[in-house]
Amino acid sequence: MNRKAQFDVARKTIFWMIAGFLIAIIILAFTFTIADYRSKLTYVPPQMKAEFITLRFANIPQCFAYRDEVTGRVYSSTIDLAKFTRERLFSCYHTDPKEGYQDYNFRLVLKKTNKEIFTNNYFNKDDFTQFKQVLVKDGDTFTEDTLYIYVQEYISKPEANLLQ
Amino acid sequence: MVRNRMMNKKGESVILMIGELLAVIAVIFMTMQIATRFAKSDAVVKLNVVQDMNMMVNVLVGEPGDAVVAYPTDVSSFSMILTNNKITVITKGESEFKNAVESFNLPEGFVAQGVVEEKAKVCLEKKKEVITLRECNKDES
Repeated sequence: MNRKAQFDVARKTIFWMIAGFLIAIIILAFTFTIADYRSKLTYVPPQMKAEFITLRFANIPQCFAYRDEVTGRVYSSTIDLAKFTRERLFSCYHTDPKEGYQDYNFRLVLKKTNKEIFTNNYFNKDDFTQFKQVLVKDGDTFTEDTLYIYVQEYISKPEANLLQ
Repeated sequence: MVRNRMMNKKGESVILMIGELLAVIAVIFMTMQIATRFAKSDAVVKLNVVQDMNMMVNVLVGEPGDAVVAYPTDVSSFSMILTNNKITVITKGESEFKNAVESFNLPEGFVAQGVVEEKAKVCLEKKKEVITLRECNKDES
């Protein structure tokens, strides 16, 4: 093989190495673009998910909604202050003790009444806040109040740091 | 000698061109394969269905009375299993790893149950503290 032929072989090898690398990158980029597009198609805003979960707090008697014991009628958006306890919240919404920090967790605050409770895996990482206008029943009196729901969307797994 | 070398060069360039053509065809084929697999796949629909169902369960939990909700689109290509803490959407013939699963947290005393296999219209019904996944009746769809 003369020198020119040797140079040709080397040049082609380099060309195909670069071309192969670029082709691999293009195919990978295309795959990632499709995966990204797929995740955009299935995206649901976390605020909406949280809104649906938090409906229960002020609407059902198993959580904090006031139920007239005589008539059995449930008053939506009316919070019975006697029920507004941490134990009640645990029975209303309870996440897995081990992995529940990856679920939605909440801190509920009645502003005027100045009462605060939170779920079992809430660690003061507020991602966003929701507000609900409610009536608070304290004994025989009803007062207007605002229920602040601080939402902790997700806490990632504590991996490397804790393992060291 | 000169003629022989010229033929070799010509032959080499033809082979190189064929190689390049094959490489281009391979790349086009691979990208087409990826795109076709994505277009034919019902993974996106399945994920949307499981998320919708999960949100519907949460809405029903927050509803003080009894209620029935019909899923608005045809879901006859899926089977669904509702249990106390999750909903699973399955495509027949696909591996377990491809099941779409969403979990939820029910209040104490609530029960969620039901299995539906490839029915076009699916309903979620809340009666007192029991949420049931079932095929819709004719008057419900």
